[in-house]
Amino acid sequence: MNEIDRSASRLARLGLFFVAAYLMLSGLLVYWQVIRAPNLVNRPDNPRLYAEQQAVHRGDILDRRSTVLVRTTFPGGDPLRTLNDPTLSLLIGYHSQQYDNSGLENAYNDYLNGAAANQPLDNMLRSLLHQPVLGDNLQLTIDDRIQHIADAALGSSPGVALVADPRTGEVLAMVSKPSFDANRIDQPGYWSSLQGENSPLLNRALDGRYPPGSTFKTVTLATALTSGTATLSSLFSGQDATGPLFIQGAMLPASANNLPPGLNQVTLEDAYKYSDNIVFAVLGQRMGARNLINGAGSFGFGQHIPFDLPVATSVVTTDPNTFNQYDLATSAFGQAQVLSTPLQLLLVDEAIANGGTIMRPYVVKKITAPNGEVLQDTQPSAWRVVISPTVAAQVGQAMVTAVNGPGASGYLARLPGVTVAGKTGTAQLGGATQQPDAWFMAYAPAEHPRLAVLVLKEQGGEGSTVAAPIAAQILAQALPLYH
Amino acid sequence: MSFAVVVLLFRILLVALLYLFLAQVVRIMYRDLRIAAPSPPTTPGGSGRSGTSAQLVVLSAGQTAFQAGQQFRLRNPTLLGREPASDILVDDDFVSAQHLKLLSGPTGWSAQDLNATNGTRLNGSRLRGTMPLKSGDILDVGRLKLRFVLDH
Amino acid sequence: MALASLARARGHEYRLLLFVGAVLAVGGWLLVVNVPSLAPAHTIQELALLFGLYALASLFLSFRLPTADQVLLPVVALLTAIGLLSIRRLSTTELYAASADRQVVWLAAGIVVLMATITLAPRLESLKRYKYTAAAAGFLLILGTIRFGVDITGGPYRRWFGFHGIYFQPVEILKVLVVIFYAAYLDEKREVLSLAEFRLGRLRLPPIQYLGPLFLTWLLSLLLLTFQNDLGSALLFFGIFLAMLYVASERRSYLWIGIGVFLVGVVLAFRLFPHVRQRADIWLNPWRYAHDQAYQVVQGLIALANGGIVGSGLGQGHPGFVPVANTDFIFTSVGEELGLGGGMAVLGLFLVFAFRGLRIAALARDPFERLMAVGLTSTLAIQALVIVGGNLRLMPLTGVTLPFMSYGGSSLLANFVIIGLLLRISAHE
Repeated sequence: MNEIDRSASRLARLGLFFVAAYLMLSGLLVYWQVIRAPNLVNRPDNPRLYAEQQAVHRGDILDRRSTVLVRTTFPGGDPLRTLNDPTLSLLIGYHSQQYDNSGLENAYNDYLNGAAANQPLDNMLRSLLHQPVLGDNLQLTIDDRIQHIADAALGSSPGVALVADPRTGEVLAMVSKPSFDANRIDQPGYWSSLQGENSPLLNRALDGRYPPGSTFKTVTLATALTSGTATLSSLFSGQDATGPLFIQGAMLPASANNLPPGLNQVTLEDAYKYSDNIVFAVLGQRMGARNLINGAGSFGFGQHIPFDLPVATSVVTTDPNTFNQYDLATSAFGQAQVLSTPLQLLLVDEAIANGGTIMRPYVVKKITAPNGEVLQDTQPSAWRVVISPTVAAQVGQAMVTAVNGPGASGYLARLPGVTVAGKTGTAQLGGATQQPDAWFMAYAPAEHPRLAVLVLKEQGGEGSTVAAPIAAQILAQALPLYH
Repeated sequence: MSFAVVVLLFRILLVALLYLFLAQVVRIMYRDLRIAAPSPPTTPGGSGRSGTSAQLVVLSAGQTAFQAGQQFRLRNPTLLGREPASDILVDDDFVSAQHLKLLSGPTGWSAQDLNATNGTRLNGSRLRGTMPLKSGDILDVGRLKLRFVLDH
Repeated sequence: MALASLARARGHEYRLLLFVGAVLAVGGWLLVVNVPSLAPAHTIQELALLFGLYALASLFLSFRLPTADQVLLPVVALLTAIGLLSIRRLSTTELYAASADRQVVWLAAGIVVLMATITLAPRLESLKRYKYTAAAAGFLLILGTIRFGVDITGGPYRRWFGFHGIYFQPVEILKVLVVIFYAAYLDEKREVLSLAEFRLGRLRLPPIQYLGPLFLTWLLSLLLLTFQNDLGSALLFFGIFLAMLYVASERRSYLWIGIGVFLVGVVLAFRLFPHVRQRADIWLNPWRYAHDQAYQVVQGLIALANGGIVGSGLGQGHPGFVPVANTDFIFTSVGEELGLGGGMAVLGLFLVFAFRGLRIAALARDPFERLMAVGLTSTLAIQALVIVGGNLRLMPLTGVTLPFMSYGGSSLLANFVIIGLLLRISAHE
């Protein structure tokens, strides 16, 4: 081998060195660009994540009649999400760059954002083509017309109005005041203005817990009938009817009987009609703590309520160990430690309206993929069988009487041409200067109920004079619209 | 939707072009790779005299249609040039009609310049007159590069 | 008729340049379509100009150096084309706004320099006589930069000469001077190196003549490292020397000694220089420093990851999020938008360049030219390795440019000189 060939072989080996070196680089490239790629891409310090988020075309939210409630448009290139009905701000929630999401926008974010990989191949193609990912659309059970009716009827002071279909569990309207305007959430100064004491960001229908007052008598009544403690025609006389009642050294004054003057004997049904606290205190004592608490439990008290959004748990007592006779007596008419969310009371209402079975409450009716494929079609399902249809019919009868009977506390809820069933509630809040909360639960038509309504006016006064007319107005306007 | 697909296609096209380029280059380099090892001689005894049969191996074809690695068995003498009567026809603009003669004598093979306009290079230096050839020598005839190999 | 023969003269090169033209066309279309803020007419003109420059160069070669290698120029053309497309794409970022136009100017100057090198450079053999001059000039250059130079990044490391707003990195010319010196030296001392030995007791050491340039390289690297914090160039010079030594010397042992010295140097540098230690630390634990010193490397890797196999598309990714995206991280910019396919193709191009250069060395007329070719090829091939290696965490990140692709005038000009010399060597003139 001459010198040229020797150096040629050295050159060849040098060439091999370069091949090896570049092969190593290729291997590393594959490692970083393919194998480790997912970790790297999802690192929070990858600025592309935030740049690309703008490219998601978030899904629409529609009401039950396909009226557009929320839609993202792109005026001038940037996405703008508009809530067409600000009264739904609490239920639907805000969608904000700074403050993230709340309400349904939060709970169903994966669907709305197209991240619920229902069409992974499609999404991959779209990302390859740099096309915005399309989110899924939600259709709600809400009827926007009824929402407006409820919102207008409720007025502007703090309170809640709920409307639902007791046969299916669908929620047709959810109003909570004070509220806010989700469209303005990113405006400077708006967020801080919402941090005030009256908590406009709180959805009182789901998260507010209040003493239910006399509306709770519905539970007590149902429990008493079921446990055989009494019947609708059981008589209460004398101090059992009129009071005062002495329990464990405390006194329930006679003024709590709410009876028309001169009456000192009532049937249970009439006691319910007049909302006689004395009778129910006695009833509560007769049935015992265990019956009352369990009875409330079957209506959902103390239970987790399945819903599209988290619901606070309602309770009869916050501490069963210290639940004494006095508490028992006063709990029977919805005071003491009883705390209920408005949704829970609505479910009580629906139980009676639906023959004793509470249908699972829901507000998201359908989820549709951008290509039209239906991802979820919620069907009504029974949640709890609370009481027998017989007992439900009896309680229903009492509720009809409580509106339509002579001297009924719920007289302001009467409607021409429709039999309204309902129960007032006036919850004392403890302070001498504070007005009580005004409640009314109702359903109509009583024979074949199709709408259940729950109204709360915080510190509104008497349930019979403040809450009942609101419920009546809602029913009067909504019934013709819903079948 | 369809425009984005067009863009995607062009994106792929861009990368594909890069690889087509590389493929072309690899093809060119592969042809040249056959230089590294001189091709083994074909059947011995072609010229009738033992120890003096030789051949020319094409290293770089330049403008001609020869392939790198192609071999020419040498006759005594062998004429290289552009005229059709040449033993090895070199169709290159820089080659004269009669350019180079390779002949075998008692002292071995030698190369003779035929007063070609552009001349011949032997191992890089200009070939003048007649010079002896040893196995492994490189001749540049125009843009054609040849290696002279003696059969052993 | 002359034209017809001309057409056949460098056929491979013409065909390959057509591919380059196609790449420029498709790339240009994508840029215009995907990046609305780029002036379309300007972009197209620029790319067409680039193609024209290379066509001109090829034409020039057809007349002046027809026997030269036909693959080198197209490979360089393609690399500069991809680089320019990327740099133009990045020019939408405020920071890089002027760089595309400047790069075109430098490219045009580079082509001119290429042609000048081919035309004006003396017979390469005569360079042999000036080896000591070359070495001395090189050292003076470096010393001069250390003393009189500026640091355009605002730090204490002066690597540039400035002149009316145009900045120039002398280390780039140094590379060429050093290669000339080594090639001439190793060629001249060839006999000595293969025969003479230096005995130290029972050890057989290479002779002084070999130790000389070795020491020189050491000193050079040391200077570069200490005063200019140029770890990349320090590595590069050692690498070039080792490559040339390996090809030049008959004795394998010299290579191992050379590598040994290199490793000793690395360890010493590690111990003596805190900033070398720091760079090693950042290299080994980038995730810990992901928000400060290792930010660049990490962002570069994130960019590549975002590209994936197919790439985000030219003009559709976000290469601008990576710092120094058009110089040190041009590879990740290309990798992000052209994906794994594009990145591998670039690596392939550099490997092809290396092969071609080594082939030129193999076919060179004499040992000096052979060594020159090896040195020049290694310069570019190793430099690419070092910077991409830094991007991919094969080694610590250094500040060397990716030849022909990075934005930078001095680098381009010096590299075109190298190409010119390689073409000369390949043409046997």
